[in-house]
Amino acid sequence: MMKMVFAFGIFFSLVIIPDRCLSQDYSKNEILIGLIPEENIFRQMDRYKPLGEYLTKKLKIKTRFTILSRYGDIIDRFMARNLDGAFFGALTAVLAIEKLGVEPIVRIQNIDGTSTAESYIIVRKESGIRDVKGMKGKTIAFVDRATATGFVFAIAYLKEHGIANPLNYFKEYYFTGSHDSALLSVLDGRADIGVAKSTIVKERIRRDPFIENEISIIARSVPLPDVTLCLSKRLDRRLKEEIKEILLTMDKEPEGITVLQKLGASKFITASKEDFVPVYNLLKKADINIRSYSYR
Amino acid sequence: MRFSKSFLICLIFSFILLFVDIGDSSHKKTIGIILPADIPYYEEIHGYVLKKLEEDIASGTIDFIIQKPYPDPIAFSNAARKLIALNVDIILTYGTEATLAVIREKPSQPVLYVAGYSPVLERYRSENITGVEFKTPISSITRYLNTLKEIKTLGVVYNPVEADSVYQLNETMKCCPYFKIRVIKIPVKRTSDLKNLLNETNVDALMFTTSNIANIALSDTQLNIKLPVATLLPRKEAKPIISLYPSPRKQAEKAASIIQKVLKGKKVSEIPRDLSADMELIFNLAEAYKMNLRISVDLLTEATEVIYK
Repeated sequence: MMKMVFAFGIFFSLVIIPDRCLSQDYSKNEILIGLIPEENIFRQMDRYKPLGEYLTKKLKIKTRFTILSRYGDIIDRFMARNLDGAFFGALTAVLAIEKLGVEPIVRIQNIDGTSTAESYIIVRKESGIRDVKGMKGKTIAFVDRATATGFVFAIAYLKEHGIANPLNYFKEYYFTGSHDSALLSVLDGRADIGVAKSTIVKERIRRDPFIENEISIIARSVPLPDVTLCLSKRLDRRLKEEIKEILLTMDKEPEGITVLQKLGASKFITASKEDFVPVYNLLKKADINIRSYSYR
Repeated sequence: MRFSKSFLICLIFSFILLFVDIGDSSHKKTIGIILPADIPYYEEIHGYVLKKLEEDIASGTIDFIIQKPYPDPIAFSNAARKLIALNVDIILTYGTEATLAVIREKPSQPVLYVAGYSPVLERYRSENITGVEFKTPISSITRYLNTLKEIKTLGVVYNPVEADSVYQLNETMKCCPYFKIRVIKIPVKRTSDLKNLLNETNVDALMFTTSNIANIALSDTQLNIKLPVATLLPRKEAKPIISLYPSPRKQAEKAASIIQKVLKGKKVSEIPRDLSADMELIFNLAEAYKMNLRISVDLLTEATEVIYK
């Protein structure tokens, strides 16, 4: 009998107690999720706010979004602000997987059925720039060093075309901080070339069809995983599962569909680390080592 | 005594010859400049060009003959003929109309231009002409203007005899239907035309093309325009709410670089025209407030300059 009590005690201490320790997060009264500033932050917050309210209602835990000031801050801010998760872009997700051990949970499927995005290198139609040769000595607007679709693809593309030091190839380069700002830089003539994510460019064209008459896409990347929710390794696994389940099934109910529409999504789909293989390939082509990459 | 007088004259003459030789006039180049009068934007570019050429000016390798004609075709043409007759080494022009006036005179000298409107000048390619060009994205400025308030009618101030201005009017007419805006033409051939035309026209906003005449007309402080104004050339005293134009500093840097190349003996035909995008986007927040218009934060973040007061 004593043996049984002892054995039960050991079992309890090994299994139940650690699980309860882990589930301390589950008793937290707020979940804080970070957003990368991929577009105008006010528009972005308008899109995500209903999702926060929906998760709050379903989880019965207040769920809040916070927009990180810039891409390059995302890893530091994730730790400093003790975030529970973040909707990452392709490169920031890889950085967070490598540096923070976050777990990809779900990915947004866009209205058009895609869950990936391409990187576009865009120019004004009358610019005369058609290829890498034409880019020499021009001004280019990137989004941020910590973006695959707004920076790394362009570097990989130029290296593939024999440009050993891509940044020195341009007269001037600068970082706009968001994809739509990179597009506007080209439209306004503040930059000759822009690098931006296809989904943001398409959305802009949908709202303002004249843009299609003004720009040419001179290069595009392979499809890369679009915005992916990754959750902290500290977060209780049951809570992670619950969040995943809520998001994956929200397209099955009217309230969820309304929230998805406001987000500009058709549904959420399961995400995994394997989704990011094209990003690792792109980094290799750009000669970037993700562990030592100076992305700030 | 007679001998010593002759000797003295010879000595002075030799000294003058020697002095002239030291100056080495054969290496000195004269740049003839046509700078349209009363357009502060071109004056600003010219100031930067001179700054960039400071060393060449100090070393005495270049000299300038500046013509500042009133911006009308006859005055431009006279200025061009004068420079050709003076046999300057290089002709430097500011703006499209001055450049076109020189091209029409078919000079033998190299013609370099600054702030030329690309879609107009591309019809006049020649081995003897190169320069710095720009093309204003008309759709962008229309788009920004349309975010300030719902614009149903846009008055476009242009000059029917200035090719760049006419091109911009046509571009505006092409893009405005996409924004559901109707374009009202406001043709200004003389600066005095503007006030009368504005009194007769009922529009929601005004766009001033790069027309020299329209630009000068806009400087009239008596106009008292109560509408949102967008300009494709800066005119600070007119306080436009939005301006989109090529950076004067960058235009000047490129122009000075081209001048230096020509001075060093490079053929003009070997120097490609420069059509880089270096636009400046200016929002005048103070004026917008006065008109009860709101410029959103995301628009302000796109600006290269925001005027607060």
